[in-house]
Amino acid sequence: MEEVELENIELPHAESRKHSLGAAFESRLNTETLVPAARSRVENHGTVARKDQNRTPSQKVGDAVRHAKGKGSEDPGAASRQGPELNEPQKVSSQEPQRRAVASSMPARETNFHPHALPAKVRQERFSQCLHGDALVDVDVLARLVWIWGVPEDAAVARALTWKLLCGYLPEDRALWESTLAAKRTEYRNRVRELYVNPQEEEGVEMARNDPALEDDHPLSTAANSRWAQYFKDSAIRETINRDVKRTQPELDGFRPLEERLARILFVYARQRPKLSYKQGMNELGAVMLQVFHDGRGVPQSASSADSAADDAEADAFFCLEHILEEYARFFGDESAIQHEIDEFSQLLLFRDKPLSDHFARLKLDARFYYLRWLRLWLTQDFDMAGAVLIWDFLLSTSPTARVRWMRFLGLAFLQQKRTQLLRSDLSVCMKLLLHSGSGRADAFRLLRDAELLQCAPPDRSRGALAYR
Amino acid sequence: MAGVSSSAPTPLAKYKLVFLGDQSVGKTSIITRFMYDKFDNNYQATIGIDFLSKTMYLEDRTVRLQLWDTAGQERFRSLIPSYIRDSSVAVVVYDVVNRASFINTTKWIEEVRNERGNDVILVLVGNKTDQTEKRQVSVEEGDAKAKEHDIMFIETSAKAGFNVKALFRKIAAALPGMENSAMARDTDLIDVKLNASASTNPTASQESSCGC
Repeated sequence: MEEVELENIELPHAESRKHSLGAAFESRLNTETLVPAARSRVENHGTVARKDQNRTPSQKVGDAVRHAKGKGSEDPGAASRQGPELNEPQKVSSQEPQRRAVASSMPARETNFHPHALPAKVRQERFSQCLHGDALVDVDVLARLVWIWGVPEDAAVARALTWKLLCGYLPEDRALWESTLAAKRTEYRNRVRELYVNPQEEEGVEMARNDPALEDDHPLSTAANSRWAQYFKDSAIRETINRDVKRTQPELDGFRPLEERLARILFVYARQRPKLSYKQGMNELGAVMLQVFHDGRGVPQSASSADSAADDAEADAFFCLEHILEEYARFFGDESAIQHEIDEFSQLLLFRDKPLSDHFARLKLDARFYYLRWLRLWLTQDFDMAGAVLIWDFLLSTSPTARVRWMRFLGLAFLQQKRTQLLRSDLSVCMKLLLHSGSGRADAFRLLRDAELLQCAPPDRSRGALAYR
Repeated sequence: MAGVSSSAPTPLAKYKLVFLGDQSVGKTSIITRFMYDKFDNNYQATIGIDFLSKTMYLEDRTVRLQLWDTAGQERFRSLIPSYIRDSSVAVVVYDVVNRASFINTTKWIEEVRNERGNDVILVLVGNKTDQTEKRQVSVEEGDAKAKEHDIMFIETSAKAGFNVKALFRKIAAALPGMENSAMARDTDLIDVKLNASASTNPTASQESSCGC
């Protein structure tokens, strides 16, 4: 039943895919439209062999890349032997014709493409090959690996490194890593030192005395350049931040020692962008970033190096948070940007699933009630840390523009997974389903897969966007 | 007492309540205490809006309360007013150990008045009375402010379970169509004076319990 429907869905899509294929490997965005099918096939591997008969040659090109990556899934040894060749970055783009040949000669092998069929060790090797195999890391290839699999669960160090590369914090040239990190970390430390000045401390007062402009500075000064005025303003910002930091990731004991660091990151960011300052929700984004970098800081050699490794993780988390907020801050501070995105999402829901959209309209259940939170937090409050991190892997592997678009599909997938219940429920039960059903890594994986299916599949307005599942 | 549910022949009367107030004053905690009679020291910050509903069985009728929990920091003009707009009740919460949050209630009250005029039940709630030593706002101050704005007032501790049920009884009693009901008699429940032992005493919740 499921297979038949899958094929029905697949056919019309084959056309659109064929058209986009010419430029498929040219642009990042197009590669992204190609790759999504991978994960869906990954999960539906039982149906893949049959589906393959219906596939156009052009579709098989996309398959080939995935196939190449999945090759050897039965034999970890073989996979690692083939590793270097498969992960040669340029080959993915420049040797496409050869891959086409490979693909058509061994279509059946694709059935092996399943992340769980591929031992974690092998996946880790792929990653480390991509990360450490060459003087230059091909971030596009890395992004695609992350897209298909997520970073291997237990590869904390690899994940931290991967995120830094995907955020553009680290350059592709490995030789520059050390100096880049050293410079950035010093920069952060200096910013912290500058910002955390208490005018009451002798040094501060001394500086004020020596600076003629600040001669008259005192705690009640209203002058724009008053260090005291700034100090009180800072205290208010810090208190706002602390209130939220204390209740960030409340279920996660491991996060408690990181509270102070998260507060510092958010404060430095708030001071850097005074107009936006700190907004609720940034704490959640910062927490995931910091936790991942903290976990991936490597094994400290001594107590003092443990401290400095944690300091480094904090600095790295700051810059990567700054990077993602560059595109994303508008959803914290710009009302029209938020409204636009909510409208986009509502339109997508209406187009893909009219019955559900109508149901929500009857209940007066506005998309902003739930989508605002999902959008701002990258679903962080809706999954545990392991689940959130997988979703982050996926979102970070996309371009900032594509990321916003993908959020819509993640949101739509979230709705589709609960569709039957939602259609039967009143407002309060719906809201509970939408905002209070925390889940873990396996659910996150399912959500990602469904989002990809939705992105590929044509709309089915009467039966729900995932009716063929 | 009034806890026995009678099967309501008429459809449930629904009332929308919106919870407003500064960041971290305990809006979510009050709602959670009311809904599930539990408390957690650290609820995640509410982003955007949250929604819960609960049926309250009163002596002479049953009502459904829809509770809209807002984010304290949310200041987007189009967001908050839309939640206030069709609410029957606005609950403005402050934290008795945070003076700034008390001062800001004026702003929240004005925001509600701007949207709804007098066509709304407004309640001022001073939360976290269990933290007696750190208190920055006295009961008298809270009461005075409520009188000044001609709205209801109550102090609660979501943590100790103190007066939370009383708060909702009080609201229920004031709902449109409830003026002459038996509910009105229970309003004396809410003026329980605080003292250190009552506020930290876990049985405090029972004292103010009203079987709803």
